[in-house]
Amino acid sequence: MNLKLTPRDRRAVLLGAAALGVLILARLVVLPWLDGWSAARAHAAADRAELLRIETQLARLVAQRHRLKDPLGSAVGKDLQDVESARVSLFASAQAALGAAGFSASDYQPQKPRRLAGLPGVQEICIQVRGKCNGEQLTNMLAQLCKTPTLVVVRQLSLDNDEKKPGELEVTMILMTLARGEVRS
Amino acid sequence: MRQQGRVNYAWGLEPAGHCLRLVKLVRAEAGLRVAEYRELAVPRGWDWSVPMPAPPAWPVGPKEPLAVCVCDRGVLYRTFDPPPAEESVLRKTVLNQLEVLLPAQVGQFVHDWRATSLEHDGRRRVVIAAVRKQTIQQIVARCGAWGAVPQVVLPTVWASAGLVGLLVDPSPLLLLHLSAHCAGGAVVAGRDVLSCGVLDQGLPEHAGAPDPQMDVDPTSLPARPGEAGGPRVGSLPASWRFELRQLHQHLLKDLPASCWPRRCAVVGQAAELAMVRHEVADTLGLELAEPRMDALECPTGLNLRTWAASVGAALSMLSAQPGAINLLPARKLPRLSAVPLRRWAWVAAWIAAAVLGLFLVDTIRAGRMDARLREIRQEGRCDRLDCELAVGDHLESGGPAPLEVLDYLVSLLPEKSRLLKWKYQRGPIGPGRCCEVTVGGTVGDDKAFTELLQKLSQAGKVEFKSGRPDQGKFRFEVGLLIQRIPGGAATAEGPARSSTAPAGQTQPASGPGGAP
Repeated sequence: MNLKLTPRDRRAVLLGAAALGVLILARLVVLPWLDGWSAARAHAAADRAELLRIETQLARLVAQRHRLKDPLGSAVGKDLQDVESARVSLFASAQAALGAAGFSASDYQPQKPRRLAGLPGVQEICIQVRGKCNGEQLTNMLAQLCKTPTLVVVRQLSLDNDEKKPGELEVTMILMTLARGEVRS
Repeated sequence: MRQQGRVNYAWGLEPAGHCLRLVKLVRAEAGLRVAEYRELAVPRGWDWSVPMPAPPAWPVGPKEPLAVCVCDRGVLYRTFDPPPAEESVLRKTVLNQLEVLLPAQVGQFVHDWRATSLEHDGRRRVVIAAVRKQTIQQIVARCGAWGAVPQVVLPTVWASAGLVGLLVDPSPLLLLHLSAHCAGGAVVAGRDVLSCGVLDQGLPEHAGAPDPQMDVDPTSLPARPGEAGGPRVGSLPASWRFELRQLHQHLLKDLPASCWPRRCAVVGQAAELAMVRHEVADTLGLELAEPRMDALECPTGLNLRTWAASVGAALSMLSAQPGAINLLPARKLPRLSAVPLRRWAWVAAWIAAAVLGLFLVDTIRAGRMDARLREIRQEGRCDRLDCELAVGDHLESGGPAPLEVLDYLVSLLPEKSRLLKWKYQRGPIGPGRCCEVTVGGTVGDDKAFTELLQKLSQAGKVEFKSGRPDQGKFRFEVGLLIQRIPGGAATAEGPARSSTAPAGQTQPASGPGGAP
């Protein structure tokens, strides 16, 4: 079939073909590319938000440690030990701090570790200490406990001053540290 | 078909071989007056396609009306007689005719058309003229380079035909514009151009290549005896005469017999010689008309035959010739044909580069952040961070440390007081971050105890458990819930001061176990 096209018809055919080509190009290349770009941007925005959250938490942690450093000592920033190591470290640190302060301990009684509510994987290791000291030794002992290499927190402290023996204090206290992992009973 | 605005003067420019003819036509009281005419020499010969510096003493400014003649050799003409129709329909018909007429795409040409006042068999004659767009662009570019902006571009023969409109006798006239390189012809009736044609531009009946001798250069012809400076009789080549007759027949084609001209006017550079004019008239069998224009005032020395095209071009811009054909498009033409495409290509390239750059930036940034986050997650830093924050929260929830509390309590105890019992329980206790303290001891009297209670209440919730006078003193026991030690100084300096200055020394009679 010999089909003769006028210049106008030829232009119309060419224009239509060009429009069709543009549509196909847009459908197969441009739109998927734009979708991919949009997805990459959304992914980047989510990543940025996550990094910002981590940065905020990091800043909060730094501020928190700065606040805790004065009352609890510089051991606050250290990583938590496992339960067995923490038990040993707690006893050694307590003994060293009490001895340095002149506190005469009569009894060390390890307590049963307990889990902390809201802190999965973290255990509280405690040891009860009984002994005698005077007022100056007591304050020295509390100050020395902030300088130990292991985190030692006074969980409970009771003083009894016998009126018949002024200056001598009966001290019962529970010292605590934190450890990670499950307890082996 | 466009109407030109009313102006009081206009410049007409005709490129002619080795010179440019420039005329300033001014509207005068009696009609029109040629105020100025200059012949600007172009030694190398004129060519619109070759950039040239402005001729010396170029007088036309950018805002002055300027009409430029384009050589007839580059112009295509077509006449046809469409049935009466509205202008929009007529315009479409003209476009259809152009597609037949033009040897290339319509977009490569610019055109204008004019419907004449001649009606024959209920049809009105339309004359179309078209020229390559590139030619117009070159004209605009050259004039622009000289500081002038042409408003009208029209074929040379059409410009000359405009001058015929000023003739006293309005009967049909065959106008021939002869120059050294081409010859254009038109049948003019009053102010109407009824048909146009160009010699050596492919007449329908013409076959074969143009004869080189067809070009008429009057300076090369010998003088005729009895006519000073004139050529001899019968000097025109027979082939050229034949072509001239063909052109004549072409111009008369489809014209009603009533419009056939009986006289002819010969203008242009080649028409300076009387021999040429007479031989042309003899060849065509027409009477030679000598132009007599009462409405045009020409200075002495201006040969109107030679300057017909430039004067007619200027005339086309004045009101005496409204609606003259104008090949300059209404829209502003680009300066050169390649420029807009190149410009758009640059714009498109910049846009594409910008989009690609943004895409790359986004992709690289997303990749980097993703890698960084993956690294953090792989190392478990996120979990550790959460865990450490939770541990810190737990430690903070215990309330003040015992040394801080002890220092604070000792600082509150009045004179002659003694601390007999002190119990500290670290928090968290209840919803608040506080510790529980129980204090027991003796103070001087109940008044001192009341003051102590008031001071203790500033630190937290106070619970009075017991109190009684005992051997001249007041024995008490108080429970406290302390959330925060009042005054930051006590908190900050507590451990340091306590370690160096025990309570027994700062409060001589009040420390734990201190002397009463």
